[in-house]
Amino acid sequence: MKPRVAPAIFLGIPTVFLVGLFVLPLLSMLVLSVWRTENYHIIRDFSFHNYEVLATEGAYITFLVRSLVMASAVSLICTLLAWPIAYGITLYGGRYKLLFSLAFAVPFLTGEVLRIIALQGLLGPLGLLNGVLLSLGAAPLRVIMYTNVASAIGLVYLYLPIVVTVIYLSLLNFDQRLIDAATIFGASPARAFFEVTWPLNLFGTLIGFALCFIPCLSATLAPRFLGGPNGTLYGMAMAQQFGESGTWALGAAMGVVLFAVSVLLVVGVARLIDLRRTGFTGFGRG
Amino acid sequence: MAYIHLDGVSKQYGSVWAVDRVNMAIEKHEFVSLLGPSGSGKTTLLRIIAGLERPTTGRVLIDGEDVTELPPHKRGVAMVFQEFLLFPHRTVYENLAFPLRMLKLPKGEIEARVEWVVGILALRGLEKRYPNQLSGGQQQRVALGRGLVGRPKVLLLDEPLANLDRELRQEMEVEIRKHQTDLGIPFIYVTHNQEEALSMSDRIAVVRGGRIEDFASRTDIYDRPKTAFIAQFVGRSNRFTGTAATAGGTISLSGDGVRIETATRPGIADGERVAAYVKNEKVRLRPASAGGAGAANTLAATVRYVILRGAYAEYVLGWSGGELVASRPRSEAEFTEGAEVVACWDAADVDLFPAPEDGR
Amino acid sequence: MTKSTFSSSDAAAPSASPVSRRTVLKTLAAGTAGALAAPYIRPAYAAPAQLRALMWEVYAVPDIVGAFEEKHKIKFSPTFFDGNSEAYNKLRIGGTRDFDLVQADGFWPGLYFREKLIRDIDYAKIPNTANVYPVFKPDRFKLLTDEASGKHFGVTWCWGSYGTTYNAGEVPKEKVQTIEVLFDPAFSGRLATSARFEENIALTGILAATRLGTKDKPRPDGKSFNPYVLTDEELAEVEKLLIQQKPLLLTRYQDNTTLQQLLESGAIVAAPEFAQVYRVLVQKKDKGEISADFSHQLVPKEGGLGWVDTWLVTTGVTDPATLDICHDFMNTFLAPENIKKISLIAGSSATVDLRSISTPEEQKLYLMDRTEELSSMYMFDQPSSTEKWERVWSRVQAA
Ligand SMILES: Nc1ncnc2c1ncn2[C@@H]1O[C@H](COP(=O)(O)OP(=O)(O)OP(=O)(O)O)[C@@H](O)[C@H]1O
Ligand SMILES: [Mg+2]
Repeated sequence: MKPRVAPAIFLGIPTVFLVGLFVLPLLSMLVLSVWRTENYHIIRDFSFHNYEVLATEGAYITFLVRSLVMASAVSLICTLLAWPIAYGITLYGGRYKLLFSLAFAVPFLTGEVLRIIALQGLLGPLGLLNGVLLSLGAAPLRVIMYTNVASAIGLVYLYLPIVVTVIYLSLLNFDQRLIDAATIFGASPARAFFEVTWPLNLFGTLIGFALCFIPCLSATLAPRFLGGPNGTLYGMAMAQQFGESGTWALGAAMGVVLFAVSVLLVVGVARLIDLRRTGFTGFGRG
Repeated sequence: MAYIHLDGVSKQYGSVWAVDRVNMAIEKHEFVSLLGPSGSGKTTLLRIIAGLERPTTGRVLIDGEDVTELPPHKRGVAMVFQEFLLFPHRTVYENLAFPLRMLKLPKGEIEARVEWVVGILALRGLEKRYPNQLSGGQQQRVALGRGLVGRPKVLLLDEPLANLDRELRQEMEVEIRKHQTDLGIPFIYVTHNQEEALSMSDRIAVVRGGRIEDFASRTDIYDRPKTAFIAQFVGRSNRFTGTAATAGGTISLSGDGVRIETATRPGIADGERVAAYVKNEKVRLRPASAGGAGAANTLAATVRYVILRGAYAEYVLGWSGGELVASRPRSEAEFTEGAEVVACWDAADVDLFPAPEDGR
Repeated sequence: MTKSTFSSSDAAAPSASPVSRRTVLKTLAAGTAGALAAPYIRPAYAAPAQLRALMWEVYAVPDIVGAFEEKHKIKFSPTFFDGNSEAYNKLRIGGTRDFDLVQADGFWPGLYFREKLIRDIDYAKIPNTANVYPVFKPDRFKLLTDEASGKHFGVTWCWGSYGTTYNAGEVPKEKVQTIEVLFDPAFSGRLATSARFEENIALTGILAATRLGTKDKPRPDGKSFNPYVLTDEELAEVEKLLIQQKPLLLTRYQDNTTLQQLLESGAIVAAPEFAQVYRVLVQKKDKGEISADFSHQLVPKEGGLGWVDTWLVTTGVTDPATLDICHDFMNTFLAPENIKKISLIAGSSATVDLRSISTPEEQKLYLMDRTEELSSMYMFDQPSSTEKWERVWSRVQAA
């Protein structure tokens, strides 16, 4: 029998990656989360104490709820903004389409910190926005200075490019002539959108949504730099456990909970949606 | 007044006139083909009728109404696309019901009509499948069914059979024509395949470079081509070029050891460069031993290859002027490769045109 | 405990990024590194002819370091940290073999010494220690001497407080003399504090203990009051106070650049800080770049927080040659002309008496006559229970 090397390699490499980059860190988080810390020392006593704390201490639940609300709102705004942008590019981008899609990748090159700092410059006390308002005689716009609104603007700014890119790619793969087909058969442009364009790009839109939602759920920088005293989100609180306070075990438990919540949400959405109804053909012809 | 009117319709893309001053009148019960080579503007013309493209100039009238400014969904036309363009996220049933839902028909009516289409197109049992679970022929039938189900004012078909193999195509040709007759609505059928056009159409519009070269009955198009382009493009022909010489009601051209003679026709002057076309099936063959070579419309040749096409044999002949093809029924005497023959045709079967500028 | 690093010489904008970058790296790395680091990190190979320091970035002044490298024909290779706890963790996972010198402030050197992360040093080999102010001499400054053996394990070189910088035009002087100013509804929305939880809790702890009257009573541990060792009752009061304070705060600043902009723009009128932003603002005022008057309250009447930065030698240094180079490095660092340069760049006050080579403005700005006040401050320390303090901080943030 001929050994089947190619499949082993092609499936092996992603498996190694997944195990190395994903399973191992997750396992180490799991282990750490059932230990405890005492003044910067890890004490290897097995208990579920950290999880009890997370379940009973209102503060951490507050952080999680805040993050869920924030992530939902930001992902929704991003999706609503990204659709017309991506659609505009596919319709009117013409020969600059490639340029546009590359332009949306540029923010990824600068790194998250630089983008947050740029945003601080925009929204901060001496930022562009307040500068203009001050010169017009208005008091600094307090709503966007160190508030959850500022965090949300920051997160939208951070993740809009990725949502636009994903929806844009989905639209690129989408056969626009199906819209012609729908209108020929009596659908108004709006109807054609909801009958054809939307369902056939729903999968891409969900991926875009998830690629915004999941990192927003664990966002640390935006709330930290923009959120103000009431803006602490789950990810930021979690980062504090690993940073300043050295309560790594609790932080690890927070990480495990976050992971579980993310997985549950993804699985939940996946079960709600019939992929076949989104034109997904990854099932083969069966 | 005709059912569909195209009145000076043109479409410009940049500096290209994809459709150039097209006038057409199509009757309610007609099956019309738009026949032309690739890039000649057939699809563009169809999309203009459908409303998917706005003409740069001109008007489109359907059933007496000027629809030039009307968006596609208000025109009541239907279309079968070359790539089918079935909705991949909808089952066969839902694809067929789509035009009916857009018409806001009651549920019972929708079911009945889909049922009807499923019946006439032999789609029974496939209703719950998704398009990517169908064979090419099945997808094609669904696409056709989606076009028919809403009883449109006109059905536009853009090379709907191009993706099918020959056998399936010929079956479908018969079916499509049958449905057109049954429904009594005009079908406008785009193709670059002359056999398709000839087999189904009442009339054929030959499109070339965005213009209608001729719009006439299929027999006229085939038997009495109006231009050199049509003579060349429709049917298979042998071509001869030379200088015209008129004398006593006949016109002749000679060269390469053959003299072609036919009745004079207006528009061709003495001494003009002309091209003569003789359809393959109009060329008769007899053994060289029978003699007669040297007469007008006769030439001596050798059989180089014999290509069998079912009931016909196609003889590729070599003669002093090059190659000549004769298509003969198999019921006639057959010749073998290498046989010496005499080929001849009737003067009436010669189509004569001024030679095109490009010297072809 | 951490203090932000800052460059005072040329205003603020660019200095934000290095701090933030490190913050991020730390944040990113923390998740897995925290869990995985111990078993996997291998100590770097200790190359000879190299002096390795674990330190604040801003104090690595190139020409001083360059001259030192030249003198000893040695390579000075610094690694930068963002806070004492980070340095502490690095040392604990084998860092004593990776570093020869380390910086720390407050009570941290004592902790390092007890955990055998640093070793004793010889003041005789560091003649410039003679120039430090009396308050930093071993007879008065006890934090760098082992009580049992009397051995010294570090040299001081700069100091600071966590006093209140305020806009003198907006906040009356008498109000700033107390920590209460940071809890005063009169300045609602125009206050800010640092984002670090230790300083917030410790400073509020002083206020809480003052209000509860427990500050000067006998303490459960039998020692005198230390805001880093708070009773549960005091912590509960701190939590209450910090929650009351929240609506008054515009933000908790992450870096000095932000704080400077907040003060400069008038968005806030008072904030506790290391006096570094204060110095920048005063210099800007002198140059006529801003018009508002800023002052700094070094120690509030309830007591304040202070820190002294030190150089320490790790226990990884065992051979006399390397120890001598370490001694000479500290001596070079403390040389008056060097320490002045560093102090001006970093915006911190030196522990060495520089009055003879400083202008009157510099003397005032760098508090050269006020070193004695340090003795009234509580030194930065490690929270008695980071777990308890973290819980308090989380509750405050969630409230
Ligand atoms: N959107 C467009 N932009 C620019 N030029 C176009 C566009 N659509 C068609 N054309 C040009 O118009 C001409 C006619 O195109 P059309 O698609 O109508 O040809 P066709 O007869 O359908 O050809 P085929 O048989 O290959 O489908 C071609 O030269 C084509 O390049
Ligand atoms: Mg076409």
